[in-house]
Amino acid sequence: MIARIIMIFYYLLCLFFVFITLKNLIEEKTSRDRVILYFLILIPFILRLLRFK
Amino acid sequence: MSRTTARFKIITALIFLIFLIAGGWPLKKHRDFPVEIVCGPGVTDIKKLSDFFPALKGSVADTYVFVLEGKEPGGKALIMGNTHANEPEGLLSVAIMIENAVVEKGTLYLIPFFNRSASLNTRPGEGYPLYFSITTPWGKKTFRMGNRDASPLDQWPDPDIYIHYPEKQMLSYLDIRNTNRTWPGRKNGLPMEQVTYAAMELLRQEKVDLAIDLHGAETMFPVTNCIVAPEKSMRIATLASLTVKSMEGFENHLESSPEKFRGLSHREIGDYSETLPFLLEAPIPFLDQPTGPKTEKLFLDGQDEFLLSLAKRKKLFVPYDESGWPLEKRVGQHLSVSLEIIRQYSRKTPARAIIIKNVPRYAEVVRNGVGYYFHNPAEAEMDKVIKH
Repeated sequence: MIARIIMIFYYLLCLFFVFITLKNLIEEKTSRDRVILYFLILIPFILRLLRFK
Repeated sequence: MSRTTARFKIITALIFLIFLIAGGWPLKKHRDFPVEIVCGPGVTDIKKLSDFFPALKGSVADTYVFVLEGKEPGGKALIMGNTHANEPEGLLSVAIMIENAVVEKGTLYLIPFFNRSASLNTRPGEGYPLYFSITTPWGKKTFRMGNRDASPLDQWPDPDIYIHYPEKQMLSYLDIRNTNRTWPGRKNGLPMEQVTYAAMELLRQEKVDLAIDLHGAETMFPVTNCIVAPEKSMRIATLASLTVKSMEGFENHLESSPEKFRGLSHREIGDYSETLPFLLEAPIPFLDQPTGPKTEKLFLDGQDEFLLSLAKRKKLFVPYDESGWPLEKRVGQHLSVSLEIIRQYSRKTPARAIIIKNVPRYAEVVRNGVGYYFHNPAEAEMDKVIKH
């Protein structure tokens, strides 16, 4: 039961990181390097949220 | 934000989406891909692990237990495949038994996907194929290639250090998802501990005499091509090893189950139940580190030039030549050794004998191929086809 609650927290954590990364991505105005970096950071979090990997 | 930056973001987002779909979709398809098993004439009942431990009901970890009960009462044996789902020789051997075996005396419990979550897991980081196919008389039969451990999608997070229950030995964090380190299991533990707990309940409730756990190991690892057994199973293991060598002409040496290495089926089943445990290891060149690409072909024929070069330098623990170590030999030896263990036990304790017919032995599987023993699901009655 505790393990399941911790697992749910991990998914919420993923969701949080997706949210702040997208927020930073949208607000980024100059650096193209950072845009690419934000997209790369998003990949594992999205794969986990979609339960692909 | 300038128009150029906005355009750059849109283009990058599209490229990102293409990568996400190209990389993620095959993994999703693999997780949803059903492996079909056709119930043969010997299957008398189909249960699930949750029938022995209801907490597993509805979870990904719950898995089928095929029961083959003879007309005459006798002993009972459990055979498990895919404890490690990247060693599918066990799954194939158990599937051949489900599709063909007829039990005349005693009862056989068969679990083809012991760690079902691991069978839904992948190992793309090491270049493993997602599937492998076997040629049958009616076409190709495709199986998922799984991973050694349960998927983190089903059990997460891992602890920093895995402390085994109940022996309190410290093991690698990863082994909390390895169903050959979580025996004898824990009722209120993590899902993989519950899987082994459910199997222990099966052994205890049904008073099972023998438990055989089918595995495979690297050719460079000393515990390969062998039967691992604790003290209480050693007599039967010795007789089985000597008999297959003299009667069927293949080597299958003995390894003693270490008392101080906890969590393994060949140790804990023996220590925590009346059942006699055995673990069989077939050599799988595909699992070795210094090989060429991890292709489906390497998995099937076990031929690799780097291993051949190492064999010439006597670095392998099994005889190895240009013919490799094909799947037929690996599955054939699992079937023969399992049957021989059951036969030796039956000779020793006639009141608890288990008599099984129609399961091919080593020479037949090597001659006919593994696919020869699988039935076409398209031609079988719908209620006889189990998708898992």
